[in-house]
Amino acid sequence: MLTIVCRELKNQLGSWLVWTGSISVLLAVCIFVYPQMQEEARGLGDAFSSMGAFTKAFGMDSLDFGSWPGFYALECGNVLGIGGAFYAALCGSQILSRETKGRTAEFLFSQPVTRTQVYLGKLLAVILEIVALNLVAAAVSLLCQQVIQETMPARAFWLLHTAITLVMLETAVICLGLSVFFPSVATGAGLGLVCLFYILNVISNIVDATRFLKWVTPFAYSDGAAIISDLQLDLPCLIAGMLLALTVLVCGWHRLETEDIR
Amino acid sequence: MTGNGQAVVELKNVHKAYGSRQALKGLDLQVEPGILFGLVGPNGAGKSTALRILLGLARAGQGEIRLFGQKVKHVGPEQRARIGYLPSETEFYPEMRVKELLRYAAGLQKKDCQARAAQLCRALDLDPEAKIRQLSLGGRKKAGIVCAMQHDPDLLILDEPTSGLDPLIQSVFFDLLHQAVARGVTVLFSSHNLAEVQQHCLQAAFIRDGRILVSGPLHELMSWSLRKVDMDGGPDPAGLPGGSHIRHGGARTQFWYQGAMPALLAWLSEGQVRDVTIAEPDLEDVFLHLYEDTGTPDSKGEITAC
Repeated sequence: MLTIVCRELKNQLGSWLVWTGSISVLLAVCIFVYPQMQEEARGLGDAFSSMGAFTKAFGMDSLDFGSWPGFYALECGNVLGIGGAFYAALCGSQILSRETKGRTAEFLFSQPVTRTQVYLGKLLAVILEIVALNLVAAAVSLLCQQVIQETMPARAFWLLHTAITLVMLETAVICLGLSVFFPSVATGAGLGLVCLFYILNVISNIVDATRFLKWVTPFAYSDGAAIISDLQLDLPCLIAGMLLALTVLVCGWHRLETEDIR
Repeated sequence: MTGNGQAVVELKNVHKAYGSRQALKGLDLQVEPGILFGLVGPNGAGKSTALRILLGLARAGQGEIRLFGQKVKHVGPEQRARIGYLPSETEFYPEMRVKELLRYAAGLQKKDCQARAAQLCRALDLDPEAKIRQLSLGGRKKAGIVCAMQHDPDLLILDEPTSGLDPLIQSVFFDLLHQAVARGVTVLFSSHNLAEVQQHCLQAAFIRDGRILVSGPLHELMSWSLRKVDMDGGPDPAGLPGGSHIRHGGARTQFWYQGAMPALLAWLSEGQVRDVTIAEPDLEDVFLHLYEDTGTPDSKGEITAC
């Protein structure tokens, strides 16, 4: 299994560098922009706080957009959360399906490895890539905060970054599981799923009757406004998300174990 | 090798369906240890499906699979560690170099195969530094052969291994196979090329429509009661029991005869035959005979002795 993990990490290195670099640069830009737009942000916060549904949609009813923690949770959290979720979807959906699409599955599965070892090896590689991306992003963020002399409360900072990491992990795991069923459309389906999750979160924030959607979308427990104000993760939502991911993962594994290799 | 002379590969009454299409309909196959065994059949006959079942890439619907003398429900890593496999469509990771691919395969085999891989690459004239994406079909085939052979497996399963290889490399490839067989390795390969099966295999099986039609030592397959008869003059073979595939060309008539030799000789002696040649069929004749509807052997696929 270690051979598969190493091979995947090496194979994905280029893509990881591009995505980690892009997300880190965007994160840095957001952080460096804050001192210049601190006053505007405060004004914007006042404006946004009276925009009804829009205010609720992005959690600005419970967050001071003009403050550094509020700005960081909304702007930087969104850059990392959405960008990271797209990367996670790509990773999760492609890591196994490209063996089918590239017709290399026959080579791989004719080696003395079990299908479970291949599945878990690829899963582990995705987890390591996502964790590494988030560690780099967190390090870049801390460094940039030092430069602009702003500091996020440590607990809020790490809770936010942990939640975003978990969103990415959940997305990747769901995409990996689904890719076993739909290898030929896995990438498109994965990216579409991220959009769907994000929109579901916005809708559940706006319309009270759709609050139940927060049990489906991982963006619910990475909501920066809630994390900053509550200083804790929405544990029930998090558990629901992890259970959903685990269920899809197990279904994908079962399918891989029983189907013919194409 | 099984170590006790048991068959290395044994499939009994194996069925396999893809949706509503039955790919294998009770396939029986037995491959003895330490030989080159050819699996011959037209496209869609079930050759690749049978080989994929032996690798665990496809799951049999029903039937019994024995590998290395052991009954297995699903072929797993223990069996695959002893098998080298070359798929018919050889596709690898285009971004890799050949040496990286070989190292990856060796890593999955948990073996250090560097020396053997280098030896095989030299023999097949394959550049280990070449990028997979730059390789021709033949180049990818060579890489696949090295992957299949570098860990010195006990059983080589090769699906149409020579397609894409030039004649010179084909010759080197068969030399490598014969060397492997001399060390006790069993080679099971599928092919459309009857000449190479006839030239290299000790035993062969003909597969059609998901079933084995005939199987056995090649000299037996080619010396069964089928004969090619070429005669000058004589009666019309249409009236001869066992006569088929009749072709007239001027005064000469060619036909195939399957049956007892005294009956043929008696029939010939009664006619005005000026000249006659009775020859054993080559493998191509056997193949054509088997795959013609009129020439299908009996339902058990047994060979009738002369």
